[in-house]
Amino acid sequence: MRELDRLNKVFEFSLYALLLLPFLTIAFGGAVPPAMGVLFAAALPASWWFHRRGLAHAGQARWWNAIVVLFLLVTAWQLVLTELSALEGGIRFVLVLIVIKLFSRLSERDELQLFALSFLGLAAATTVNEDLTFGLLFAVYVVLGTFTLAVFHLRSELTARPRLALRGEQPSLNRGYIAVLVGMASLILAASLSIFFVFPRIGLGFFAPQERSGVSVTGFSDNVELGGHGAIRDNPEVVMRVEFLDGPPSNTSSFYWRTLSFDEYDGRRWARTLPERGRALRLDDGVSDLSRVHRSAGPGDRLQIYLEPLGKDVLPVIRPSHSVRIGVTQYVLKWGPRAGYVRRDWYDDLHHTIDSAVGIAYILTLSTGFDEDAEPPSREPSREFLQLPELTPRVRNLAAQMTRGATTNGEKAEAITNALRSQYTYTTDLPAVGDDPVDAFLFETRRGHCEYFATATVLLLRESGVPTRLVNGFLGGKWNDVGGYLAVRQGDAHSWAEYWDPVRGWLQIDATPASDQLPTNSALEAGRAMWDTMRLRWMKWVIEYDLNAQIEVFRNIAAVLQPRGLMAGQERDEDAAVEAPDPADWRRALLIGGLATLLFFAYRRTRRRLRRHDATWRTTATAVTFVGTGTAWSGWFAGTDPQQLALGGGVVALGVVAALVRHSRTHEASVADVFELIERHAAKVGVKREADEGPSTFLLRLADLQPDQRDAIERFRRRYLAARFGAAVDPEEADRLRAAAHRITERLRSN
Amino acid sequence: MKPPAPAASMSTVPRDEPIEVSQSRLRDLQENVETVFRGKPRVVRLTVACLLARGHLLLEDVPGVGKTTLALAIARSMGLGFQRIQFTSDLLPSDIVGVTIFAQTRGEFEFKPGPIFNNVILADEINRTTPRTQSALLEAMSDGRVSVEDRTWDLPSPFLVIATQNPLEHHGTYPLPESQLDRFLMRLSIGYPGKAVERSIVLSRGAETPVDSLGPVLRPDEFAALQGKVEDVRIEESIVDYLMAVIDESRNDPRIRIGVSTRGALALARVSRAYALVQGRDYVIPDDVRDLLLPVLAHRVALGNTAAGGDRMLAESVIEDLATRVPIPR
Repeated sequence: MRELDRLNKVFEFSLYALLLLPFLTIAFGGAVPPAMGVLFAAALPASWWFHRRGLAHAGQARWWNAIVVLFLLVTAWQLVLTELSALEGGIRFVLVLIVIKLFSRLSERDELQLFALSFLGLAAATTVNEDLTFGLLFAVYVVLGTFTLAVFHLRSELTARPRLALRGEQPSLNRGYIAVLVGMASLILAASLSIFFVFPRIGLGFFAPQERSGVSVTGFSDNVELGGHGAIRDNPEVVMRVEFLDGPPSNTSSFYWRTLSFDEYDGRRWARTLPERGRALRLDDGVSDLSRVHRSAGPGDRLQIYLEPLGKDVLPVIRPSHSVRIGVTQYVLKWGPRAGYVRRDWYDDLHHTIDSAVGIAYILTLSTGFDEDAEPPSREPSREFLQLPELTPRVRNLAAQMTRGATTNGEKAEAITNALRSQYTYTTDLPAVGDDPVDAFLFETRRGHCEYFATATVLLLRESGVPTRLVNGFLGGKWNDVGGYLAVRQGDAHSWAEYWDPVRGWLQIDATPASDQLPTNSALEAGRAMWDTMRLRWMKWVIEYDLNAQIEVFRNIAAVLQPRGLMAGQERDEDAAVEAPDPADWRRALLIGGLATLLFFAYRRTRRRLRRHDATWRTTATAVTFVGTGTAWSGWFAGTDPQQLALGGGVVALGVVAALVRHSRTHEASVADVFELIERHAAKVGVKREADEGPSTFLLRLADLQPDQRDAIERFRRRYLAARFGAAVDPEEADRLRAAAHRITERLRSN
Repeated sequence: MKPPAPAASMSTVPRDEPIEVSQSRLRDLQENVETVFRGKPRVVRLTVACLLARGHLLLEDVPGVGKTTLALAIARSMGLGFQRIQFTSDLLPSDIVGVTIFAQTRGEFEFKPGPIFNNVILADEINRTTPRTQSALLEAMSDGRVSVEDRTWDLPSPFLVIATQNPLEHHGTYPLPESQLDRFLMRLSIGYPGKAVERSIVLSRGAETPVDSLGPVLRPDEFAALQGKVEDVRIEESIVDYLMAVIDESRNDPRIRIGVSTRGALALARVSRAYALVQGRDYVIPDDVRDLLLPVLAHRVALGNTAAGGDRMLAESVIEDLATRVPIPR
């Protein structure tokens, strides 16, 4: 019964891990109140000890029930009288139930209830955690859940039917069993993933509350206050991720992602006074045309942007852009929670109308440049853009002094920008400033961060009679080598100014001098890049994955697999060209042929073992090899970058090494397979081998029962025993034996 | 002074003769025995295997099923020196080992070797003699030599004891001590022959006992060479694992007070090799081990409240039961 003890221990561990996972998922979603977290963390080891000592007994059930009812009453009371939301109350209740069950469990039924509670916890977690951590913990949960259920089953079999042990069929948790289990769990995970990707996703967004913790971002704040602390340049939290659909750009540092503009300055802080309501941009097939607003020449590169949830409906854009479109694909759904349009306010800032707290994806088409021939903007800027607080005389003098000799708005802007840039220095380490930060900045400290420079630019230009506004947003971003995209972080937040040019409209100027880049920890950076890439994938393939994306994926697959002629015809129908590079005929043939060959061999190599429930390292290695090769193979065709190919190659190499290492044991195993073949078929015709019946005895019995095959079986018996237990024979013998076994089983079947 | 040593201790038969030759010799031996001991090929096989593994054999069965016939037939067929000792309650150790007497002609003491100085000893009804006499046999069986007064005499090689005992008689019997039981490599019961065989035995047997007419089929050195061949028999690892699993099971079974010792494990492996050789193989198969579990292990375990070997039927059923629990390699 030592096996039972071992199973018990393994089961306990996996059960606790299985209960910890939903808790962690909820905790990562930020929905575990501190008291509950402490209670849960303390209750886990305590209940372990409690259960170990066997302190639970049926008599306590009343008390436990009383606690549950009491807690339910308290929760109900809180729901009615306090601000506790039903969701929070529910999650807390599930966690408390888990703790109570852990203490009071006596039978297998209680353990099954714990399974159910753990699943309930995970389901509840979906409502509070839509982050990447959910995806990762969910994957672990699927694998561990399968494993724990199997161990549970094994254990109950062993307890409930001790006769199994006497018949030599004692279930045990050996390496082969675990290998099969892990394989099964991966299969289940793969199956659930494929269901996730294939199942039509029309309903997404209708049911889930879709809340993700929004990040509070400097670049989006409604008002800008000077004099606060501005040490934000090292905040690496990513605000948006930008994929360049038409190839990576040469220079990302000059991207000014503008979000919100401000008009009124009261001497300390900026505010927006113009009405928020603006006009919807002209929608053409879901595309919002920006070319007139930005006076853009023609469509240029396309950027796919994934915006984190910000609690704001602002879309960061670059000037000049050609058009913007909500969504991730060429195909736009005109209805549903993800359909929406873009609105422009009086500041030319863009807003979207999608009520989504999970972030938003949109495609921005840049412009090739300014359209110099476009007619001048008819609308004069309102007088709010000339508003000024009370300025000190020396500031006024400085404005006059800086713009001396400049006549046009453009010349004035250039003069002030140059002056600020050359005579002032950038710092995030701000000295204390008095009541008038701009005055202090211009004459005393002469140091400041972008907000000071931008504010000073606006005030000096307005003083010179140029309509100007302050613009918040982000500058540049960090290129992520792993994922091949641009990550714009909180630390990239920036402020600059836009002035009015009577001919060309609003133009942006930035007086902030270049700053020194902070030294970064490269190892940390690499890890961060990796993690951020995963977050982008999560955003792209889970959060933003909807019917449109599905159609796109299937179209891409179809583009690779379909005969060329047919595909070409379809391409004419819709100008929405498939993004995957059109593989040449021979490449396509290679891909299909290679994958088919791989699948065939993988099937041949693993089929036998899996049926035997006796997967060894070699089976695992074989599977790893084939999966790895397959991944690398299809990755190459899909145009994956070399790093991932190298990763795939590494997996393959590992698999091959593992297979070679285990090769020494393969001979006996493969010969034993041949016997197993006969055994299986004999069992089908009613001749079952007893657990303690040796191979020779069994074959002799079979020969007696199959008179027409007696000689064949007898010959096979001798050769099999010699090959299996005798001195090493030539490796061909295993194949010959297999052939002989096949002949025998054929006749067994036909009889 | 040298005790009689009829068998050649040095083998003249080459060790590396092919398996087919050993096989035909062993087949001859078995067929020869079976001419007088009919209808029990398995018992003959086991007996030959036991002796081939240089082990002593205990035959335990009711009177009149051919224990003595089997012992005689096998001893004669092997062409080795043979002596039968009828154990009785008044048998003394010196009746087996020999005595030191004063030789008047030479004027000195002289050792007169007893019947034990032979290659094959048939110890008939061993449990009818006193423990004192039984233990005289013990030293001989375990060490291959005997001590008389202050001198030690080597026994001839090979030295094999075939003992018989009667399970039914309780009056006037002395059960063998555990330590001595362990010295026997195998304990076999013969059982009644099949009806047809029994009928032909009844029909054929006349006044003369056919055992007396049996001649040897092996030269003495040939049997020694065959014993040497046992070492070369291959035993595959999974079979060793199986064997160890069975032994382990015997130590964990709640019904068994004392499980099989390491000597028992060694014995089982050794007999398995010999048993494979007897069946014409130079490798052990799992069936060999399975077949040998009862004869090799049953007398080595002590059940709940009885001594080892106390209740043969019960011990065998326990061993059989635990054997069904251990999955056999295929």
